[in-house]
Amino acid sequence: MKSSTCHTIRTLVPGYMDGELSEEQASPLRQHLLSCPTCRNAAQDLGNLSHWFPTPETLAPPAGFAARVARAAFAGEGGQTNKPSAPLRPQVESTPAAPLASEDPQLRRFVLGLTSVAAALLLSLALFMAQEKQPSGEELSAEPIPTALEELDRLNAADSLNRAKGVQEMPTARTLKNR
Amino acid sequence: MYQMQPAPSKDADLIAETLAGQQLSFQLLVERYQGRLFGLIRNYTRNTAEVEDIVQDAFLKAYVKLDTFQHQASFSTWLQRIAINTALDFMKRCGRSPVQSVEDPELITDPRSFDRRRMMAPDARLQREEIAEVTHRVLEELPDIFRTVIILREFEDRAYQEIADMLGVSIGTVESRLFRARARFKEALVRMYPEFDPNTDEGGSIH
Repeated sequence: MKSSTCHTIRTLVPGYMDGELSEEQASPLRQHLLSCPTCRNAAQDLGNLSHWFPTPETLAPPAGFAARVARAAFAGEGGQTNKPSAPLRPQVESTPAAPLASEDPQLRRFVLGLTSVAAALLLSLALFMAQEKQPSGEELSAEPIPTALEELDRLNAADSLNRAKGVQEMPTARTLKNR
Repeated sequence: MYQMQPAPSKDADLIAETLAGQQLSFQLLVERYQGRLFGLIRNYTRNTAEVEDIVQDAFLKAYVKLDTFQHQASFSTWLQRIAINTALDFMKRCGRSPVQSVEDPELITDPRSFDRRRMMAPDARLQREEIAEVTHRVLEELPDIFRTVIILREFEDRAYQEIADMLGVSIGTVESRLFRARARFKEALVRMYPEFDPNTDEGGSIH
């Protein structure tokens, strides 16, 4: 009997220590703690834990803080972003790599130049490879594309036939809305 | 009959005036809640300049979102929720937040399976600042949801209901999260500072 009581008590101990129990709940628990050293230890542990959380010293906002924040809020009204108008402390890791090229004109020119050189190299490589792997006329005629086109033509024809017959079209957002 | 002393403007009035373009009304809102937000956020970082940045950012976000504020919750609760999220975002951006921010399923979930390890109070010789430093370091190791619930309960002394409102969860969730958070705190404390582990003593004498 005792152990089941202990189980119940222990679920209530944190709430008891946090002052969250009603007097009706707290009173029998208090009685139990007086007679049960194990549960009392559990309660004491929580009490010990709370010593690790000393009340912090108050930290007063600097003078003029509210006026400054209100000004910043209203100044940013036109651009409505979630970014604060006054920047946060500099953060080393958060600078995104992408905007660099557009921000520095010299770097931008360099990156553009490098890109065009790479593009030219890639193009000549592609041309060379195309030259090497030129397919014969026979290979070209064997391409599966024409059959796919034929299939598509057939489907299109069937579709227009259906429409002519008054078969219902696939429902679009508009038709669904009108229903 | 005597007219009562004019009561300070209600939050709802100041909010409406702010939305109508009254900068001073917003300033009054900031003045009303800045102390509470500074107190709350200083639990997340011990750097005063960072606290100021985060609180300012939180107020600016609140201003931008003010028209979405539903009056079912109190403005204070709504504002503090924004501030907590701003602080947690800030920590993530600085790489000072543990990656894992979901509840740990491996952790004991039933308060009845009570942790048998004993907990000791900080050594009496430790200064308050030293205790605060240790606690802060340990809290930094905890996933966001545990750190926040501990901050709200242990430092801010908030009632379960208020924590539930602030985090948008049930009281039951607050209770179980708090239970896990405390267990995690104990575990991290003795792992990071074995000298505070009463269970490692030879003979394991517990007083």
